[in-house]
Amino acid sequence: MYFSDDLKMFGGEIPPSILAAIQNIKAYFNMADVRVLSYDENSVVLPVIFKVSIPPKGVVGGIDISGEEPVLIKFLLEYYPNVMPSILSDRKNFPKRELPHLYSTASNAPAKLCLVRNSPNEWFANKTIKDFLLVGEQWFFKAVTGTLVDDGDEFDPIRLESYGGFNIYKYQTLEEVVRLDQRYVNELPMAICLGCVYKSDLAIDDSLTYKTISAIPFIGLPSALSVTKEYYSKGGVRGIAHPNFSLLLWSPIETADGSYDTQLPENWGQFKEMLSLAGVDVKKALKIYLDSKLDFRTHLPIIYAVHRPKKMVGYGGNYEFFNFSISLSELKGGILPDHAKVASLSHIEPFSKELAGKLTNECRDAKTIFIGAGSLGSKIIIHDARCGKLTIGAVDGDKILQHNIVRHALYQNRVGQNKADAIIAEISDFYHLDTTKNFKAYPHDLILVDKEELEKYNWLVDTTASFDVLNYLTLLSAPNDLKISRCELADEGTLGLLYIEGESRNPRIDDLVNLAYFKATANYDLQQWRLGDAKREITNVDVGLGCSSTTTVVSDDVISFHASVFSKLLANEANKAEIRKKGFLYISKFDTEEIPVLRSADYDVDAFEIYECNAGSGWQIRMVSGVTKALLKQCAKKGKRETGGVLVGVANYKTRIIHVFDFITETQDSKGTPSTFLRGIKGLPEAIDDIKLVTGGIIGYIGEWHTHPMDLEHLSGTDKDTVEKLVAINNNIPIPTLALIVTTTKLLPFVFE
Amino acid sequence: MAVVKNSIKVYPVGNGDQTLITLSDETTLLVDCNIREGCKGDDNKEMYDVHKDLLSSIKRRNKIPFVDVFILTHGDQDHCRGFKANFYQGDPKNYGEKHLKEELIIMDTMWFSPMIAEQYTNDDEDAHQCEAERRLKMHREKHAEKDNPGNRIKIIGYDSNKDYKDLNHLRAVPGDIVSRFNDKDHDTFSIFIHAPFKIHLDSNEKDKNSASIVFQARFKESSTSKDFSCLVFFTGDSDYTTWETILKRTKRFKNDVNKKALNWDIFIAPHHCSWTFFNQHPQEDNPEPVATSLEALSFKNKGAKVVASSKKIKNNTDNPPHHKAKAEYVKVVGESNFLNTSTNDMDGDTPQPIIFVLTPNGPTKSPNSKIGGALTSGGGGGAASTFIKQGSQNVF
Repeated sequence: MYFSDDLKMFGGEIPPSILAAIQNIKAYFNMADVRVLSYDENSVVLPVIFKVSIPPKGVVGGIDISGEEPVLIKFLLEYYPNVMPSILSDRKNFPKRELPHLYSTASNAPAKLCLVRNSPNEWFANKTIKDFLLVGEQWFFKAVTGTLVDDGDEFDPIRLESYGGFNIYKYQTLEEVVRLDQRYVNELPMAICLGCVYKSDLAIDDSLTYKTISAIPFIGLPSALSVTKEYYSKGGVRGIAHPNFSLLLWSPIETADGSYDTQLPENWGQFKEMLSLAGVDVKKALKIYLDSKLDFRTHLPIIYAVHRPKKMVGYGGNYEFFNFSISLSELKGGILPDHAKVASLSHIEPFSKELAGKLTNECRDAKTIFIGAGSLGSKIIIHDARCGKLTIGAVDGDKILQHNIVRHALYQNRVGQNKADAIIAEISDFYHLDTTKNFKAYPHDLILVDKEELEKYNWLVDTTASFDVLNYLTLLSAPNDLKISRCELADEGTLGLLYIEGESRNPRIDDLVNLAYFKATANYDLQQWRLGDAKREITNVDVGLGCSSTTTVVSDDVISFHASVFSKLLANEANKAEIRKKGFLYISKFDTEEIPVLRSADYDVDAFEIYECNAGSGWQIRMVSGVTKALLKQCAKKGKRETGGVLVGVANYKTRIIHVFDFITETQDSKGTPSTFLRGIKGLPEAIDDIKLVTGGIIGYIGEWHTHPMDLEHLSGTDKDTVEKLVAINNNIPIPTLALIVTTTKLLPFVFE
Repeated sequence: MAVVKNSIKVYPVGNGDQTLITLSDETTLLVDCNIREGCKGDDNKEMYDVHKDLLSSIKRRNKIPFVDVFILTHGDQDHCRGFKANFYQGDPKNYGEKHLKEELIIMDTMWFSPMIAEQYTNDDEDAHQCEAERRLKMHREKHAEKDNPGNRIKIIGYDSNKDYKDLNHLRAVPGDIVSRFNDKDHDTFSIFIHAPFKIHLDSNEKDKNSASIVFQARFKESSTSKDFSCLVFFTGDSDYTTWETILKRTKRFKNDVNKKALNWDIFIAPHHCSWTFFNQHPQEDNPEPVATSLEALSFKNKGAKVVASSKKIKNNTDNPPHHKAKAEYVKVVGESNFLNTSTNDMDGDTPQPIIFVLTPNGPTKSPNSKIGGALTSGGGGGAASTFIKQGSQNVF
């Protein structure tokens, strides 16, 4: 009945990050202990139970969900926390077919909940396990109240967790064919469509990108066939796109199908079975396709339309299209074996846009690896490549979708390709005849890039604006001579931020990013950004058939402005005779209203002061330069009397780093003696709230400091009692409890949770 | 599947009441208020900032926050605390920058009971009475702007010393069903008025509690639905005598059968879970619940819930809340369906509102939706506002 019944206890070593997560899970579910089961060779699962509040008259829609739903929290052993855990139903009889917001999985596999829009890993990069579990709990609440779909009057499409390529077409064009039952031949609900396949499909079995243009009427086929034959008779292999024919199928049964069949076929046998249940004879469709001699390519794209009871979310019709690519490589005598591979494709709405771009004319020699080949990264890469830089790496696991065309450096013909592959292919074309070029694509996430690869470069430029990447770079053991930088846009694209690490990675990239938050206390442009950021709502933009995408609304020209500034600044830095030793923070402001106004500010940043905390806590304190000296001065100034106050900064639970940017000295109502210190509160909450406000809620109270002028180097009994009290208060926020002891010669931080 | 948007948010305000009804068309009805100044901001972790939550839960028109309807069940301080300081009183045309800065809430429509309003006990109630009289005057004088938002008023129940007969077109009395709210007709939401009764006018023991407005909020999934998806009783500080009359009158007119006017899915326990709903206080002298109160509870629907809007219920002689009253409710709905605003949903030490989402299959409690983040620091209300004792020796 339960998947966990078939799993064994995990006997291997559990990484510390997952051990910490397990503690949080136990606390969330109020469990004394939880089993860790081996799911497969790469992952473990924890069986837990979500309590679900069921309406008095039962689950809305009568779906089989109970007040206690057993689930499995699944962790990838190697990649947590860079990869978000997932929530699987532990029930073998979970009503997969009746619920939206589930990923497509095999029939014998657990149902996997679709929890957040966009990249789950990016969402999780700035969230805790508690947040993750809350979202899981909300998923079940929505399931029982019938609110998993945002708009109840529309039908939510099935989520494809993975797919082997794309089919680009206008939904409305094909929906009309299906709705009007425009058959190619009377006996079969089928249309033949003309389109093309991008690149060659001869050598590869997946990741194909098709474009489907329109259905061809029976009388129009001979002329389309004639043109296609002519293309192939002339070779037909050098173009970017090759013409092909595809099939559009739909069920003759008029009853709408509202079920969520999350298992999609993986071979021809399963495909035939699925369509036969809907009354579609796909063998006959294939025969017509072959008899008409339309098989110019090794793969047959098929679009299957399912009639849904309501209008599809984001589209104007009631049909959900499922897209497949059928491998014809084993076709013999008109018969395709049942095991012939069938790949699921993702649908992309086509997008057309005029080419635009300007050439710069400058030569750049640094060897640079770019993390992120999105809108900002792709533009800087293009700038560099056009200026003559011949060693460029690009890391990006995403593919270019139609909406990226709004501001990506590449064009429509790259839609469907991996961003890193596409940008490297593009700049490789610039230097088609140059054999010295060293361009390399890493078409996956940064965590999969071999560390040795980084040694081939002397600059790393992170353009992702991703917390996940930031956390990864923070903890990365980077090659000694690799200069790490990051650039990003903020405040609706009007603010550009560029960070360059100092010598020996100090200040490090996270020091600089958090420093920018703190600088909002003094810099007007940063303050406006933080104030706005605290109020801002993310905009939802519908893309393709599937989850909506949350994305910042910024025009191409604004991004191009920042990309130009960043590109130029990075080039200047890299071309300096002597590499900068200090860290660097650069801010460019582009007020775009009416007459655009440009301004900038820059800061040299000294190395941070680093302290490892008491043994076992795992926390590190990084203080902006000068804090240590100023605190020691406070100790000296008060002589034998103890003094203290609070620390201003921010904690990151993912990297277990506390940044301290400032401190507040004793308030008027504080009392100090040679052996004790009572820290008062007069004016303190107001001072902290002022900082929180102007930094958009990021920087605030982060701990206590007090002096031990007699040089006691550990926490006293009073201190320990206080820490216990503070832990209770701070856990409500939550923040770790930092107690910093300042003696006459040193700082001793202690962190507790 | 239909999207559920109707919701009921019962705020944690200790021994007091404040409940926000939000309909699927975003119409808001606020029943009572108990906005303690101490709850504002993060300073007091044991008090939820109901003011901040209310402002973020209601709509704004030209940046001005407003509720469609404000219903004051009666004028006790714990039902109208904060009214004077947080709600706009006066001609809505004069709402200015100063009021906007203070985020004063406009009540588009007030529900006003002449009976409960004439017994002055506190400034907030007085402010409510003054604002009601301002609006009534406009209507009596047939002022051109009398029907504008912020000037609208509905009279609930009967007149006491003052005579408002000329405004009977604005009146609803016990037994009436109201389905027009803030100048808009609703076909999936209505209110059945149960109290106050005329009999209270002649009562020697006329007090605010027994003269509370008592009503049943009635939700339907669609205008054609035969049954209600949710029925909620708002009971003010009504006592067992009021309920004896409610039952008697409702049955006499067969509204218990024809209108389902006694059924409930959610029952806000009267007078903050007081024993006075079951019998006279003190409970020790009157330990048995009267039959009519138990009968009222017997009209519960499947899976019904009782909410005690009160401080934490302890096994002592306090009233309200009274632990014996809780025990009686638990007998009816079971332990898991008895909810207390001070203890039910907690975020650390801070009690959270109890939120019911109303589905076609009845009300269900929403989970906590506060998603935080991994990048974190404290605000002024945490440790920074706490005296901290430290030192190199153990003695201070």
